Amino acid sequence: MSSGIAITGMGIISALGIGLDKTYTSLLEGHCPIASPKYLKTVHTNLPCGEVEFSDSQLLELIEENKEKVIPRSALLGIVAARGAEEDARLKEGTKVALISGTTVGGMDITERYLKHYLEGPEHSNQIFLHLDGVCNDLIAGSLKSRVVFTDVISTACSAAANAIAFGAELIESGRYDVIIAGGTESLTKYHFNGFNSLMILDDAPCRPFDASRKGLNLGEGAGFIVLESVEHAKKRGAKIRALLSGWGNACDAFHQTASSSDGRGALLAMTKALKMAGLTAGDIDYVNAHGTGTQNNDLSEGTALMTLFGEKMPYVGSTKCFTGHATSAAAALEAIISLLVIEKRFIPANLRFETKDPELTFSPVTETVTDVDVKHIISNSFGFGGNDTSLIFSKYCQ
Amino acid sequence: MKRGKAYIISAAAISAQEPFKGVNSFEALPMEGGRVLCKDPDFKQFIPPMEARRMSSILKRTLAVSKYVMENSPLKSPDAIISGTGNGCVGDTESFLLKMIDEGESMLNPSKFICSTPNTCASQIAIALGCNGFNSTHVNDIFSMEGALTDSMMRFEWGDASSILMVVADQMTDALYKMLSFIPKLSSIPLSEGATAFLLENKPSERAFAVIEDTVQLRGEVSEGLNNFLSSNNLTWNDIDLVMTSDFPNTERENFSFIPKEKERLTYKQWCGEYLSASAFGLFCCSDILKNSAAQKRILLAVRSGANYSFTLISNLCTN
Repeated sequence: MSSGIAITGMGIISALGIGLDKTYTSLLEGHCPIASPKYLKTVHTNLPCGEVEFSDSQLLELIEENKEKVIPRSALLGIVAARGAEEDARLKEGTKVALISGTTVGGMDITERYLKHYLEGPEHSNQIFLHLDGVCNDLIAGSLKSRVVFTDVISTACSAAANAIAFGAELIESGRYDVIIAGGTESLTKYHFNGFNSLMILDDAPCRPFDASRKGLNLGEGAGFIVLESVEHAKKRGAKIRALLSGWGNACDAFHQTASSSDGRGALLAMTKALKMAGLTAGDIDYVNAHGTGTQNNDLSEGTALMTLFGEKMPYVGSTKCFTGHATSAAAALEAIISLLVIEKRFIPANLRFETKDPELTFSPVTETVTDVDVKHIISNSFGFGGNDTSLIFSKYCQ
Repeated sequence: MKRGKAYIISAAAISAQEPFKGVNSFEALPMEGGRVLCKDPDFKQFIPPMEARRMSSILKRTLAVSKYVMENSPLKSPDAIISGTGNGCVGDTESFLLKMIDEGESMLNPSKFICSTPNTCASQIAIALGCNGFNSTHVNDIFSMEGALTDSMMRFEWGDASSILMVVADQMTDALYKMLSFIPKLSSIPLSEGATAFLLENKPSERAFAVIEDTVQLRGEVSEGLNNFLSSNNLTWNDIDLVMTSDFPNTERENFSFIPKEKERLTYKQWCGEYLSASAFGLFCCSDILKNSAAQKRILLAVRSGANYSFTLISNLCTN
């Protein structure tokens, strides 16, 4: 059992904007930024997505870099979010940290632009390695005021950031490192936009998770990082503890490369493991920030797992991908921060556009924003291709 | 929390050497530029031919090497599967990407995309072995094996696995080789690929032939960090019988100048060539040496990438 890891800082950039305030107000007001792609150069302009409202050169300007520099968009987003987290946690310059990131596309945006050049001659050879997830993470590491003494990147598709956060927590619990910056980053790329489109799971309208008529997901992008440390360490340096990461669980559906099992066994196992670690029971959970992509398969499988776990006492359930789009490997990081805002700001965001209950599910998600609600424990679910299922539990910190 | 150690009960490598063989049969690759592909086993022994036809070479190799280490152990399935890869399933990525660039964004077949995420291997192994346990994939450039190893050791510390299949692989495709061949510093070394697997347990037993004691990543300040690493394991240089380093023989030597001169040194890349996750092959060599020789009791695996290093301590069981 974990005694809980303190979360002392958060930084976020997504379609909802940059920073915690912008994210909170958009969620509270039900402002949905899902729209046609503007910066992503794709022919599929009919497919809406949750794009960050800054171009690459605007992001370079934001991080005070030369506007001509070639840096993958996922690294740019990661730098904004990771810097935001270290600032929010008031980490002193030179603090030794481990940086753990979840990402999959890495520098794919650069690769898809230059691949033909790479194959023809040495002109752009120095950029080849920008493709690597590890290199993108090193770019983030190099941009921080903290001194990064350990890096790792986890790539379990759409649960990557959840596994990065859990891995970070374990590095603390095991005494390996005192302060961790963990999260994830993912930019939209033509590559996975077309990949998801070829799977025919992209909705041509804004997605509606759990609705009976749901047609698929909208891709999104962004980055989120949180600062983790032991409660003792946080108190010692006078840091504000925003909430606790009290449990995490990873399981493999081991069913199919892209489809979830109909009984949601991987999802159920992940949630059960996380509850056990947190020393909680299903009845203690006030809100489930669902993976809820809006595909027929995920929402039914996850919904079935939720029904098995909670029975008739279903807590508030909602997916916030209807706001951010599905930011794939960064999704769990965005949703971790949204969950932390839920605890802090005492609200539950609406699962937008839900109208009709799925006859195969016994519950409906939250349809209207709930305010002034005491939320003590949240399960945040993230499930990836390959059946890589991970659940995180965030808990209110009581002194 | 007590540091977890990883006891190796089965290990194997598919590499530029004969498949599943050990250090004693390895022959040095020609020290020149060019591509050296894996010598593959007969995949039919491990994967139904109909399924294998659709699989990329990295997926076939990781499945085969995983099944091989499982078959050479008393276990049917591990409690957890943890993989490491520098570049992931790059062959399927290239196929989908080149088709998209050449033929445009329509009529794309999803099958290559589906298998292009780096976690494809670990999840396909989970399906093949029916393993619902912990499953993760580390993709950290040259330190991907080390991330998977740290994760494995922490699983043992948490007590949520008593056996772990750790599988590490990279693939050298035509397109990747072509791109890399334009980089001058890579033009004089064999560029290769490989898939290596270890079945790890959390406790000593008669079937364990080596134990991974600890692993660390050091970014800058290498000498001091390494000494701290040794002393935190209650060791001094005197306890190290052999240092296995990630350079090629007779090159880059100055980069390991902090290693005492009198220490016996061995390299592994003359056998496996250069690829991102080659340190897993190095770890295999260490484990194989410990398995077959009484002369060496403890080996330090030293891996360098620019100013960053990783060190892994591996010993035979007599030292415990």
